[in-house]
Amino acid sequence: MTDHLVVAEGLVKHYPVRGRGTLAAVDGVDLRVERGTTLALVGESGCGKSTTGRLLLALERPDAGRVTVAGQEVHALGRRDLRALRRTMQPVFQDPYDALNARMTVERIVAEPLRVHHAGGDVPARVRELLATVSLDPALASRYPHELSGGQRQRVAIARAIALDPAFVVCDEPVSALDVSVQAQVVNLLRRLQDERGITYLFISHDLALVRHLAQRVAVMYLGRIVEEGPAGELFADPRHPYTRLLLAAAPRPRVRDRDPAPVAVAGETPGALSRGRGCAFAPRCPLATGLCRTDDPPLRALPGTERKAACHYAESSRAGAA
Amino acid sequence: MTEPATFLRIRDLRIGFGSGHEAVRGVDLSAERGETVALVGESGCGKSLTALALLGLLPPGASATGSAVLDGTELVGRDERALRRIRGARAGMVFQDPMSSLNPTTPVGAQIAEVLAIHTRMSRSARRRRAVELMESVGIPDAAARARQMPHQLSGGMRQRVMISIALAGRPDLLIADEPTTALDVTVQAQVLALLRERARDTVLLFITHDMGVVAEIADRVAVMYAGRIVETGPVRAVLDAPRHPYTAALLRSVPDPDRPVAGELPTIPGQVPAAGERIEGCPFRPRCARATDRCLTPPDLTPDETGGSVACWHPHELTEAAS
Ligand SMILES: Nc1ncnc2c1ncn2[C@@H]1O[C@H](COP(=O)(O)OP(=O)(O)O)[C@@H](O)[C@H]1O
Ligand SMILES: Nc1ncnc2c1ncn2[C@@H]1O[C@H](COP(=O)(O)OP(=O)(O)O)[C@@H](O)[C@H]1O
Ligand code: SF4
Ligand code: SF4
Ligand SMILES: [Mg+2]
Ligand SMILES: [Mg+2]
Repeated sequence: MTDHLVVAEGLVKHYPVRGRGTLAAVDGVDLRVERGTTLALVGESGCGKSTTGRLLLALERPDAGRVTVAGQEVHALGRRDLRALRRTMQPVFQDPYDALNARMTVERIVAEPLRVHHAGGDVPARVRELLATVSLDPALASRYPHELSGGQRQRVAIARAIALDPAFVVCDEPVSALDVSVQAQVVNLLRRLQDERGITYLFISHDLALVRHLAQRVAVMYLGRIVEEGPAGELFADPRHPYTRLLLAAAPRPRVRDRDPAPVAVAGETPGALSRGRGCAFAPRCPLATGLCRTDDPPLRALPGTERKAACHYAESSRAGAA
Repeated sequence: MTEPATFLRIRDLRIGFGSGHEAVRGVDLSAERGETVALVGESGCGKSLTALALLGLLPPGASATGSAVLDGTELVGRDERALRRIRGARAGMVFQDPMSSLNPTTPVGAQIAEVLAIHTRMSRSARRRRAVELMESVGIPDAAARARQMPHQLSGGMRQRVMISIALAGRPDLLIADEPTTALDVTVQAQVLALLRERARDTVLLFITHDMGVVAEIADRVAVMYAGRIVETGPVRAVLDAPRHPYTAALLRSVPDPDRPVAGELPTIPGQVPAAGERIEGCPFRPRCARATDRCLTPPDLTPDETGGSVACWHPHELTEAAS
């Protein structure tokens, strides 16, 4: 049996919207992350990726559904148990500058979780070791965040995140704000930490090339729901949901392709999550939409003969495959 | 003049700060009408300053020397009045964050109409109609209704379209786009790139980016910048398929490709870009370069080669050599 460290079932999170009822930021999401592996969560901005990440880390309460981490139901725990569990789950966010206390030195930032959780032992030695682990020059320990480059700041954020040896780390667009060459360094670091420490990642990103490089499995999210999920290789080689294909077609490649015709289906932007009507939420942008799509909402279902799930009426059809 | 006239010709552009720190260190670049040139490089290499200098929009404390001639008009060293005229009629600019250039409390249609008031003698109502037409022309659906909305009521992609319509309102000869899609989703990015490609047919488009994937989508020619200098230029296909400068090659290798996953670690460039004001003897890429020799202690000049490109390197990758 596969050992799933993180299991989310039927997660729902609504936010109130001024004068217009509520918005289903997360609208019935199931996810499973196998221990020591990376699940990537991809989709356009506003589709609910960060909210999902916060629900998994118990930084927010879901309106429905549950999250189990290492067998413990996260949102059912009492305060003390939750605090203990939190040690094992850490976030790394996009903008390390926002996430780091500007008035603390690097040394104090990395030491803080050790102190807060009374990790004990020789804290300064542990901090030095952590900085070495993320390949940060020890001379930077006395610097403040504004004195560091973006890549160095993200290394500090990662050092702090792994200080308590977490089992599960949610990386929310951790390299989106960095230069490509620095992105590659940080991604290599995240992978090395996974190899050495068996960390399980939820890797939130809109960069499909990075996702392909990092993740064993990929979940594609659209307007609060998962629309396709499966092993990375399979999903990239043969995407079954038209939205996955749209994202893949739009991803830039560092080589000259035929520019005409431009990726056909990129017309339209994601509508607000407020306006989910009947039928498939992707239908207004979908080049394959039929009458059925506009009346019947396709459930996420396993595709026979694959390890994949997709929420599309035509996920198996050659018509979909040829688009 | 002995050389053929080029529509935009930048010569030995240098931008310094009072402290003596020179951030742009002799940029030469030219472009023909209708051409899209991508200026690419890591943060801090001087891309934005180069662009701002062409429009006379340098930050306080910065000063430019050298020359940039756009269809007979010198852009560098002009007084504010001349610059304002140039910005209005000849050159437009689109920035990464449209919110920084839009007025948050004025409907977007009225903001476009204001720009038209500067460039044209249209009546008020004609300007308003034209503003809606311009919004339609950059692919904003339901433009008449959108024109009455405030910037924050539009999506990031729509705001960038509004900025593009403003930049194009004066029918400029030069359009500068500084990382215009960096903050957008890939899907919206693809749309904005397609729009710029289509609408920049008659202008020089100087497109600034750090993303080689975006370069591949938009550029006719590429100019790679490193530490305030252009280190390689050439036709986009030549540069991306067979980069000659070790920095260009390394930069390209570090970009993952969704169709071609690499096993193991992603290639990286060792070391870091030089810090502001840091002096490096000889070639600025030398401390990070695997091909460096003693010869590189003398700075190489940008030298034309037979591909229509130029490279500033003593030991460039051969044209036949697969730079991988
Ligand atoms: N705290 C909040 N209050 C109200 N709305 C929110 C809040 N957090 C997120 N949202 C809304 O929920 C939706 C999903 O947001 P988010 O999870 O941040 O998406 P993503 O990370 O995919 O960009 C968006 O429409 C966003 O505006
Ligand atoms: N306002 C400023 N004051 C001092 N130095 C500056 C200023 N703006 C830019 N610089 C210097 O110029 C260099 C190039 O900046 P910029 O053109 O913005 O780079 P890019 O757009 O390639 O990221 C920076 O590394 C910085 O050292
Ligand atoms: S169900 Fe229909 S509209 Fe939805 S993604 Fe599939 S083909 Fe497109
Ligand atoms: S001149 Fe020398 S150091 Fe500079 S890029 Fe070429 S080989 Fe490397
Ligand atoms: Mg997010
Ligand atoms: Mg810049």
